[in-house]
Amino acid sequence: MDALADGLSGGAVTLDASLEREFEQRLADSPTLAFRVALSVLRNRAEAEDVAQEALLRAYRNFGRLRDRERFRGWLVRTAWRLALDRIRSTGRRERREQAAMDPHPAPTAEDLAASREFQRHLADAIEDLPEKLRIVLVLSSIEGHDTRELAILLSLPEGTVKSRLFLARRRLAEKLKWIAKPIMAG
Amino acid sequence: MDCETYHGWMTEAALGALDPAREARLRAHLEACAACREEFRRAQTLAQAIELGVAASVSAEPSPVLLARVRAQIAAEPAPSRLFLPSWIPLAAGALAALAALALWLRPHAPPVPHPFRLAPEITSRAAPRPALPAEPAPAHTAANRAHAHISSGCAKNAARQAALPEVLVPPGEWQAAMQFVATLQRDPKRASVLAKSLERSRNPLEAADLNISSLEIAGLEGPEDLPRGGDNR
Repeated sequence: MDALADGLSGGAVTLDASLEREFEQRLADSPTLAFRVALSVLRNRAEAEDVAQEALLRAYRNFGRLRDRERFRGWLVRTAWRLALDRIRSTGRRERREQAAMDPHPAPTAEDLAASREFQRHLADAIEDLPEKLRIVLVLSSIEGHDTRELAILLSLPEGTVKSRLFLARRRLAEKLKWIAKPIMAG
Repeated sequence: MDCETYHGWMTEAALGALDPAREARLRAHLEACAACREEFRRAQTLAQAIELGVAASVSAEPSPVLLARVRAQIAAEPAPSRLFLPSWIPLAAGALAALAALALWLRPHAPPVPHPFRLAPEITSRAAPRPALPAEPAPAHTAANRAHAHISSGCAKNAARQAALPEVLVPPGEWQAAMQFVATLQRDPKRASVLAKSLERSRNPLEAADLNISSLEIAGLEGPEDLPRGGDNR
């Protein structure tokens, strides 16, 4: 603040060191969050990193009004989400699905991998087909294990709305994947 | 109730969202029906697989260079955008701008360009220019109408200043001409001086010769002797 005051009185503006430090602290635990949100939309690591980078840069530019930790994280999530959706619209969905099919998904065992690849592909398609407001709640509930109260704060929604949307998202996926999962589970 | 009905409840039950009454009935049925037990197991497995699948799709870690790239991009930001302003500064700037706009809007109107005289509509009927009569108290109705027709800036100073100016009464229907005349005087001083001379002439009262009334001579009556005074002829 002293640097800012000196700068103003001298006619030239300088950085606020304390704000810089605060942002650096946010930066320490934010890239993963931004990346995972972007990846859930884009299903492509390289593009998810680009979007995460852009979201973090914008967060830096707007940090003056995002100093509160929860507010910062909520803003970052929404920005990363929006940027990822914009990128999807600009590159087209078909190309994205083909690309995503080539991206390997982690799996615990070989047998699970054989089954989960197909299941994951269908699951990913089904998630992508969810309405946006259901999708973001579902994705965020899995990222870092946010409970409904934390989600409500991140998304600036009532907790009841978050619970309702989470349930609707999971039910839609279950209804859609029931016929695909049956033969896999039947062995 | 048949098994199909219970099948319809299983997804919700597996997601932990079935209402307690139905859940109790489902649990009771499952104890009795092996086929439905197997169906419910699949529903639970699917719900868990969805949870795990979603978590797997978002569990990836970004590459270690992401953070370095972000820092490099921030360092390359041009100086003005690297400024962090306390949040109250833009608000204060906005408030000052609003105050300045309000002050401009409320400021007193600029005084009108001073005229050598002021115009007011003539109340009397159309007539030839009246000669300049000796000063006399203005009739009440003329003064009242003058107040109405008077161009007022709403400022007491202007009103006092204007009251001190000589007044030219404008005949009805000639207001526009009078205003054009005033505008001409203001625009063109040279022409104004020429016009002023002609104005001067028109201002001068008509010369009217004094009315000479010869004294009345009363000739005596001719005829009978002077009539008896005050009297009675009897």
